[in-house]
Amino acid sequence: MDFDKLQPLNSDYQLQRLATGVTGFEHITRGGLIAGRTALVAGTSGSGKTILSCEIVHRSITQFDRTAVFITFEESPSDVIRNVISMGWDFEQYVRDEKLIILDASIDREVVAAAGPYDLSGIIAQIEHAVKTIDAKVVVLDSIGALFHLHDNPGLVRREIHRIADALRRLGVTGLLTAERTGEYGSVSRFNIEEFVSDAVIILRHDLNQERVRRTIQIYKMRGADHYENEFPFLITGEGLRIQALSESELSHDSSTDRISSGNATLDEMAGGGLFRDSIVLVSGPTGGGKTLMCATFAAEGCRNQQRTLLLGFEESRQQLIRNAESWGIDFGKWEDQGLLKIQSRYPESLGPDGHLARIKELITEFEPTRLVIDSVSAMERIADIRGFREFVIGLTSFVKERQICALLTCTTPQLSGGESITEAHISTITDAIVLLRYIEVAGALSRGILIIKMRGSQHQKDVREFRISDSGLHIGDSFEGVPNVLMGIPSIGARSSMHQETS
Amino acid sequence: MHRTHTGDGRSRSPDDLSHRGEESSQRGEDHSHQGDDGVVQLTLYVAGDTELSRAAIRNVRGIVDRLGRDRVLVKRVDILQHPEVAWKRRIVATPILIRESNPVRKILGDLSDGDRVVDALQLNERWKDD
Repeated sequence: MDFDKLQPLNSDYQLQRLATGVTGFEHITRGGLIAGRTALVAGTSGSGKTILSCEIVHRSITQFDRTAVFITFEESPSDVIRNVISMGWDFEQYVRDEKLIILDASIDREVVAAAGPYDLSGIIAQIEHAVKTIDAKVVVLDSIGALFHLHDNPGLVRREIHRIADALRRLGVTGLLTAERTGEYGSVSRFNIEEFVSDAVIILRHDLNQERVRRTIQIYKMRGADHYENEFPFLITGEGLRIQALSESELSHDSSTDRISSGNATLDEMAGGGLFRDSIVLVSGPTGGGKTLMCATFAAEGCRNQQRTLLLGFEESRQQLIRNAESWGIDFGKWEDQGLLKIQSRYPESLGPDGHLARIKELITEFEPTRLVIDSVSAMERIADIRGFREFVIGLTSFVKERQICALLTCTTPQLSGGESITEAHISTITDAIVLLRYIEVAGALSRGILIIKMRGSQHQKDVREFRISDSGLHIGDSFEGVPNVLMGIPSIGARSSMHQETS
Repeated sequence: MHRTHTGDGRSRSPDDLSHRGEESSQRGEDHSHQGDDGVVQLTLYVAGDTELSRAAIRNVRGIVDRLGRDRVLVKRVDILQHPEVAWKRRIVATPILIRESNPVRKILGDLSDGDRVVDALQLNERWKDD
């Protein structure tokens, strides 16, 4: 077998992987399908089984120059071709180029009756012939569940599916069988056929959550091969599936030791010499607490150093963001004209969390920023449940880290002084650095305080400093003195003291 | 016929895909229509020399004997030896007996239920007309 893109996974198993090219698929499977084996793709109606299979066919042909055979049991080949042309997958052309053979095993109206026992040797002979004719590497059967509707005898169908799977193994092709499920959880497929083809089982799910369709993909089983077991959210976009790999952050990103400036020399000093180039920094504070100024300062510093900066607003309009910056003497317009800065504002409600994430990824891919600012990420809480929100943040931060972008995310705390927001509670472990902005009452007067409570991989100062906002921006002064419980209203600060020592 | 390109390397435009069952000949064999002599053409497709294949062949012989050799002409194709024919003729299950002349009819199985075969392929009507 001369599969391209094969990588030995580990020496114990010698399983070779077949990359699919589907966004995120190689990540969640840790390398792709198992070459020469058959995987079952199971899901309820409308879960995306056919699209996934068709995309793998499309990418096999166009990206990896592999040929494929597609056996359709439900739709006619012309319907299969029609269904994917809108994705820009030109199956008709692949057929003409002899890269693809579509075999029609859908219902044959001319078959009027059965008189005695039979088997499916016909389609098996067709598959073998088609695979040999174009030297196919990938074979898709969509869907084998339909066989149970086409033939009355379930025992016969089970036996024949077994024979088909054997044939695929003999041919050495990588197989994909789709099968229907009746519910999102419970038995893998409707007719319990998975045991026949159980080298790998991929489950697609979709449900309505808060009026939005949520789709997930799970590698339920992958015999002898390392893979992630979680459900990963995915979108069906104009280009196919986009799997958002939650646990990408579990992978060891090459952590940079390069520091970049936050735009404020004192804050850099507090952080032990600046922010890491590929870190996620969370700035938490109440409304009017200086978060937006912190964002503008960070963005301006990037632009001054010719680093492309992407500023995404979820609370204020573009114009408002530009005006705010102007009031501190920062000219965003100039940098936008120079192509150094890109500002976009959106209402969180305009898209679902998955949709926002996809858009942000697109913007990042397009603009290739060095710095990213999101003001505020907590606005996303309004449109997502806790799990959805967490997935959004993890999806975002892992994407950003892969690209070695320094991201500043803000989070609005509900109380003026102290307090912990949902955002903080759920994403503080994901971020590399946390900066708290708080109002502090000192001798009856309200002051502003700033404190770094976490700085992964570095020493940092642990004292609370006073800061002021003026026409010329952000000014950080000395430590507060004689204010023992300076972040009043946060009893949890004591519990957090361990973080102060955190250096890993 | 939903073959998208043929075993002998000929490519077909997908428009051809919609003309299912219209292939009139392959490998020089003539599968077309009953001639002026009123003989009904049948083709029996089997897969290899199996119990199922042998039963189907035996049962078809019985049916031919019953209807009269002057009424029915049966060809036999082993798709394991000619898989490209299975592809061309869209043979998914075997054994299958196909009535090639109008109306085109197909019946699956080892054909042990002779009455059913005769009925399903509408072979008896012509016979009774005589």
